[in-house]
Amino acid sequence: MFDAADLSAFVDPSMPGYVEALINGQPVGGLFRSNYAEAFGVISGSSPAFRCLDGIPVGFGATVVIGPVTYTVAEIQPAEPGFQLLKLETP
Amino acid sequence: MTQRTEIRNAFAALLTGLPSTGARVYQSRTRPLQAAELPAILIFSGGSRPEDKDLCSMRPGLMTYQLSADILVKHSVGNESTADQILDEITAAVFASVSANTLSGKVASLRLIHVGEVDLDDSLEKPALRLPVLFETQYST
Repeated sequence: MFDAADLSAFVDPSMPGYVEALINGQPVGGLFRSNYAEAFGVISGSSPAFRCLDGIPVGFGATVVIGPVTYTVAEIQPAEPGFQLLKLETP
Repeated sequence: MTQRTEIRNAFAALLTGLPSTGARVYQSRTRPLQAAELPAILIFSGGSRPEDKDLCSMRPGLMTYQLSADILVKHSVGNESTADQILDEITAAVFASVSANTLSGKVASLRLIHVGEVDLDDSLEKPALRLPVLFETQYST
């Protein structure tokens, strides 16, 4: 069985993509990716997402600051057991 | 240059310089747009069909030609109504420009024949809206 201590290994600073974000002003460690994406096949850009432990209090519209960029939580998607995936947008 | 090309170029020129989209009017563009290039209008050729029914002639005479203008805008969380408003304003500007226009006599007149549904794609960090608008015109060959 996995427990919180096991899961925390996946949100360790040694993991690729690890960042410490500020979610509603509170520091939260997680894995950040901003992959290439397209809309309608004619508009290119990125699709930023932040993966953090389940149970982190965050809701739709919450503010997530990662580095110099302030994002807004557009979706909270279920991820692997014990994790939640925050899909982010910029205002 | 074919008549279709001339008409399409004239159509693009007609839609160039509108208040929100400015010079961001593109024909058959394959390179993706960047968010900074929105709002924009993408022009595509639709179908053509001969209106004369003279099957013995290789000259179709009167041709009906469809042109589509996809209006693209971006929006973001908490800003939805502004994006809709921008889309409506651009659409109204396109209608006003195209209304009864003959593209300097190249065509009989441009008619609006269909406005599609607004489509939303939130794949990107700045979601986008698209509204397809279809026009039809006729020209003599």
